[in-house]
Amino acid sequence: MTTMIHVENLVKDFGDLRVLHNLSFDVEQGEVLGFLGPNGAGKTTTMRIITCFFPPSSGIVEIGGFNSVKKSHEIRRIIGYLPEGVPLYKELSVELALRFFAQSKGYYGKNAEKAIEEALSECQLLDVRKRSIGHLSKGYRQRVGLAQAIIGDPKILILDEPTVGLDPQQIVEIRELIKKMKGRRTVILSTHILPEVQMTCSKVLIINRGHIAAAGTPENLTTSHVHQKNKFSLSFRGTTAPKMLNALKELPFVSSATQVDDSHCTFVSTVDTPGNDIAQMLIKNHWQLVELKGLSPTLEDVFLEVISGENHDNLSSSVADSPEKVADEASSSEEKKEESE
Amino acid sequence: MNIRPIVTRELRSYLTSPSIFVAVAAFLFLSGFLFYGTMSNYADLSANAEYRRQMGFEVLNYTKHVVGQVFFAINLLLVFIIPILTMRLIAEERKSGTFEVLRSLPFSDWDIVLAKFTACFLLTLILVALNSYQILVMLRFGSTEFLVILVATLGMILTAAAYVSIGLFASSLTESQITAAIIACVALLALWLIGDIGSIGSMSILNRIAQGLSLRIHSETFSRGVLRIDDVAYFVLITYSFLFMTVRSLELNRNKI
Repeated sequence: MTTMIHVENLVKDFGDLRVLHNLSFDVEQGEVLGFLGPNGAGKTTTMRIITCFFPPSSGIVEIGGFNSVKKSHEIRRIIGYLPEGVPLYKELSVELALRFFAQSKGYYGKNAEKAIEEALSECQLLDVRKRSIGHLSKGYRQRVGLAQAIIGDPKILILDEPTVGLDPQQIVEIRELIKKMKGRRTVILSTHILPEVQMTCSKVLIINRGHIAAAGTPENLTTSHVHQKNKFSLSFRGTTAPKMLNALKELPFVSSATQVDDSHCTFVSTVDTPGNDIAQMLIKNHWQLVELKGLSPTLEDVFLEVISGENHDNLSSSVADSPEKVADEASSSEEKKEESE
Repeated sequence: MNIRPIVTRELRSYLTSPSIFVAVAAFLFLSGFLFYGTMSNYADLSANAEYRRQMGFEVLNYTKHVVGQVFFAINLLLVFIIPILTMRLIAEERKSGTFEVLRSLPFSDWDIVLAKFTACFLLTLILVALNSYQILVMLRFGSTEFLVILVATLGMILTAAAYVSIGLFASSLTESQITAAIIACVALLALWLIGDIGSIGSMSILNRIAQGLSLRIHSETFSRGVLRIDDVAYFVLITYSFLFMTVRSLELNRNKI
């Protein structure tokens, strides 16, 4: 497999504020990389460096074998970029906008027409090709954004939150479009919608406060990173949820328990098969068991665990230094991040 | 260098912008109004030519009193019109976010700046061409040489190029179109009026520097039909300097966007 995106010790500073701290990762040809992280984590900054919007402060970024500082012009020829918010030239028709992007990438005449037709067809825009972008619905605009990114068949696609603000049907449509690209193009997909990553991405990178917090395939992450892998769902009759929670917490192998509704709780067990002990506890209290089943961890569990764990670690180490100083630094750092992002 | 797509797109955007049509219409109306005033004033003065000669007043000169006045008025009007044409060029793209897309395409900063300058300059040439009936009227009904008109027109075009580059630079400084237009207008007026500093001050070196920088003084030479290499060099230098500063401004603003 060929490495299409190689990032090594990437650092980005905005004045005194360090936004990216020694980021390193590779994306192979045909992979779809899910880029996850809370707001202000550094996702957009990384994407902007990869698209040569601005250079890194230090580190190596190679896209398709080209160095992002020395050969940015060559990189821009092989990437398609859809920024967050899908900025478009709303005064143009879909076809004219795509012609602009085709010509910008060096396609003229018949080559431009062919590239436009392919993009229109792939993004299902043929029926609105003559319409002004400003008059299109949000879903169609999103498709136009994708079409401008894929025009000219770029080897690498960078998509920054392509499904934000869409209705469920439109989200499914855009997701299908991205899934079709798997194998053909190398894609970096930034999103807040975790099931989307689980469905579309072959690799996941979780970034927090400019550091890589976790990386791997969605399957690997859910099995290796989640401490709460023995999570169970318990449905019952004959008592109230608070009483059940108290009873569960008294069991030595239950590390945590949460109420879902009046007759439904979830708990995390330190043993793999708590069924017998749970059944004994229910019989002893004269309560009825409706259902007990194991819950497989989701990417959301991984994400929350990694992010909350990191934030907790950072806070603990900082508080040990000086509480007032850390609070001041945190607030000013957030403000600066908001400005730079 | 591949500037054609941006030039075409910018011209298309101009053609779909109502504010541009209002600005063009205002320019043509005001320019026509001032032209009528200049011609009619000259006609009145001509009617009293014999009286003026007997009284020892200045002898009427068509090139000075009509050609010079008409081109002076156009150059001054462009000080207010061109900022309206340039204000959106970069400011709007930065505000709407399309600048980020533009930067991800295989264009250098110079490509972007030159393309936007070319588009706006072409629009200004169309504006000047729409106003060319005044040249035909001056040639048909006046006693002036074609070469004088040609030099004055060349001066107007060079002046417009300098205005566009200053307006483009102003547009690169902010995301607000109105702020960009105000900055451009103030800068152009300052460069227009700076030559008059001599009438209120007495420092000769300062006067000379101020007059050397004055847009008005350099453009007036052309309006009189005089072609001087230092005036041409002045406008070429001003245009290039502001285009260069626009490119630098884009580079410096990278981390702020």
